[in-house]
Amino acid sequence: MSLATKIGVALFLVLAAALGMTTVLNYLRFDQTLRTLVTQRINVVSNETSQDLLAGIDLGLRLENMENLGAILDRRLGMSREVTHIAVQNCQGTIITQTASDTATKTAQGAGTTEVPPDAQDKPSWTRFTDQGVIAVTPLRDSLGQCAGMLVITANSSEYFRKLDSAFTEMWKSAAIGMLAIIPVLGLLVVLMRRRHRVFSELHEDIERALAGQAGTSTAHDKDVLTESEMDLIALYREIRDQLPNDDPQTDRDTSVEKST
Amino acid sequence: MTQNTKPKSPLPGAAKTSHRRIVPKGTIWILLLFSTLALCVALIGISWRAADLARADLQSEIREKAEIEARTLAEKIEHALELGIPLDAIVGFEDVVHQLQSGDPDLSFAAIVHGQDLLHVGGMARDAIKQALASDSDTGTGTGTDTHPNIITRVTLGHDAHNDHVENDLAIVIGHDRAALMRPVTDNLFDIAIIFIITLALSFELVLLVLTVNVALPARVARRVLTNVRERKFTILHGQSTRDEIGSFMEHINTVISRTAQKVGTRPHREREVKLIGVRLLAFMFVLAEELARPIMPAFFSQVTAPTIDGQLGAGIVMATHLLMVAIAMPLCSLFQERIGSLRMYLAGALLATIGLCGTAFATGLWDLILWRALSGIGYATTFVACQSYVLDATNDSNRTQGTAMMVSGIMLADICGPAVGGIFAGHFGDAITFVAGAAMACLAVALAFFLMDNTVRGKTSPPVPTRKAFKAMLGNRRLQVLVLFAAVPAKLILSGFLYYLTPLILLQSGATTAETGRVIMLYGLVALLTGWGVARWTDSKQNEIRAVGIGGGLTATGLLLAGFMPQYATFAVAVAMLGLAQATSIPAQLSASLKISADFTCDHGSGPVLAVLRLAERLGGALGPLLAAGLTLWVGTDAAVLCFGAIAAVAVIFFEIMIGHVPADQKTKPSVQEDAP
Repeated sequence: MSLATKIGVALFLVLAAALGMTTVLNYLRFDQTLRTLVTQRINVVSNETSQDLLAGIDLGLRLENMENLGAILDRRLGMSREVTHIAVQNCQGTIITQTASDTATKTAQGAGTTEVPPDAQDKPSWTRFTDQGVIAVTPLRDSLGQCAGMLVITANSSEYFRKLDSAFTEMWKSAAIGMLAIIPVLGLLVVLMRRRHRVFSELHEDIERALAGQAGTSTAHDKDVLTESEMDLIALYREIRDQLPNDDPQTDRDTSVEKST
Repeated sequence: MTQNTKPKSPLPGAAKTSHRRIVPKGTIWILLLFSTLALCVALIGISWRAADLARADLQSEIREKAEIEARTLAEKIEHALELGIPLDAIVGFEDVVHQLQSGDPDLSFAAIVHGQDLLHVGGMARDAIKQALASDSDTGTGTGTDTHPNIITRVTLGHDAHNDHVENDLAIVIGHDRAALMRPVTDNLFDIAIIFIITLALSFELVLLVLTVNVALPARVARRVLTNVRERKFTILHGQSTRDEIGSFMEHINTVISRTAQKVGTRPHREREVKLIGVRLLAFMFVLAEELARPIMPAFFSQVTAPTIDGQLGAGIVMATHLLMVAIAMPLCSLFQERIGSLRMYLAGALLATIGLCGTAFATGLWDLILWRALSGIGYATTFVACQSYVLDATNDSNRTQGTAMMVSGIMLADICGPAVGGIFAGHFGDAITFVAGAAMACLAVALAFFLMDNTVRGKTSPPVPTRKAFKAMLGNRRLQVLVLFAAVPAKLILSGFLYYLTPLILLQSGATTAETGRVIMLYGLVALLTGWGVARWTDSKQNEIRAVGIGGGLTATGLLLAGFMPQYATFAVAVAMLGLAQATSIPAQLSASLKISADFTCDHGSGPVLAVLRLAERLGGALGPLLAAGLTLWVGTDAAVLCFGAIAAVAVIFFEIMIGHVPADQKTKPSVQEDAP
């Protein structure tokens, strides 16, 4: 493989890897932030609702006995466009009361994505994102820290995924455009390497002539295209060229080789 | 034919004379600059696009959150009005606002407004709210400009038939602190910038590696072979594996040499150049493997150990075990480095790290987690020592500091990249997968070590075990004692005490967020990474490592005293940056200086014992730092603790300068002939 190909492939891979890595990390970071913001918004609804419920619980009321539970949940449902369903469950996961389910929530319920795990009451509040919806569960505890029930909020996740998909497409599109930067780099590489290749081709011809005992061509090397080491290398070669042992017995000057350990 | 590797390699970037060029000769290096520039442009483009998307999509999400809060408040007021409570008789509005603030600390104030009048306010004084609303309405948008300190959200209250005095222009207004509310977006933008820097640095490293291995090293070996031919020796062949133009040209030369050598009955060996630059990548990888999971370690360890003991205590024990194993393994490995060899030691270390990190990912309790982290610690220490001994074996007095700086810069880069990338990675894929990713990285390092590390770098015979007398003489070396006591120990003590303990504590106390604190700490690595190479070249060119160590100490003291006298966010950033520069100046120089000072010992017994002493002292300093910082914080407070650290640094550097004297003239050797390369 020629040096130009090696460097070209390496540069292409480095650029592709760099742009790929940046895009993936930017996308993951975007997703993380978007998720945080959606969670924060749902938490506002969740906090407000759980405060109302906890006010009742602190008075010694059981969730099952709160008469205005449905009204509270209906009012909270109107706070955010994306909240589609709010339910209050007891500690065993049985629904005490809930708002009317819309189509999206019914689909999510059908797919089982709104099911609360049995150990949910032992955990602090958590949020799960699925294709069917966002589900946020807040355990409700009485003043003694005992489980009094759970507040389950379901929100529409289509907007979240739409934004995510759009960001994904846009970011990869810009990465693909960024890959065009490889064109001038490869162009420069071809120009530089062609000049370098010419120098070494001449050198090849010259060494073959030298080994055949023929006189050398006195081409001056293309200085600006070579590194200092390469220039020194060629200068050294020019210096020893005529002393190289060759195939011509008449001109073989290999008579004074030092033995060295 | 035997194969030999020339161990004392000139470093890439070293120049032939003391007059150094900024850009090496040859347009191939213009290609490096141009490709870096093109990459930079491409990365700026996609980072800009990502930032644009974040601004567009995330800001609207934030405003929506503010609207929900405003509607919540509006709903409460409407409910009160529905119950027939007159607006002016509503009580406890301030309490409701406080309640909202407890759920959202970014909320500055809320008010019920009727036309221009503020009926009820909460969160801030009435006049201050009035002023905020007045300046907001001056903009004419009603939502505040991007420069306005608050984001104002207004929700009109519905007309209530039961309250005749309620007009349609009754509204709820809430104000959020702009900087705080927009923090997710701002943090996202900062992270995009960090990702940009990381990717650029990594790409530059890779391109440099490719060009050095394919262009600089083959030419350098070829020149050596031709010099040998010029001297009519015919004893070395070009052994740098390359099938390009230089490779095929040198094949002709090799044929001539072999033929001639055969005639005279000699046996030429293949000459290769040590790929010293490869050690940078290897150092980067083993540190990255560990650092990827750094941001999630405390929480993950706490979670795993919680069933056995208190989670916080468990996490502390696990992390302490890791540090303890590193502290024990480093000096021990240093003693055996010359017997085992760098490659074998690196492979063993990376393998241990792989097992440790994999085990950590699937740990089920305290005891197995301790075991896995201990293995990781031993692996980390082993790979570190392997890389360092490789550098020491492959360099000489004229370029040792540069070699060490090269390795240190790889570590610094990993210190910057690891937590930043790992944090994002863990947020998406989870804790266990992040540890597995670290293990995969360590495993990849094993594979790469075969290509990037020459096993023949070390000497053919390992040095004899030092006698008790020799060891005693080495420990009794006054200049080494001064270097260890007044430079090595204080450097690590200050690093761990100031940077990792006091800086986060003070910045968080002063109201900076975790992300802002993290960015200030990151400055340390960034400055060290950017300046390390240049400073090391300067140190090597002057051949006065002692002076470099002194300068490093002086910079540390200046920065710390500055931060102690003016404990503000900006001065801390400056102090941390100065500490980065100081450590980049001092740490590689300390290593070179310790070997020079103990030259009598290292000639007979190798560098291992000297490095073991230095590393043990460094670890001791590192362990003492947080303890001292904590004690001083309790005793005199955080700001005064920084001043004390500054005073310690100043006293240490003064004692160091007075007691060590200056390098004797005979140690100031002329730099050896070096060659061109990037």
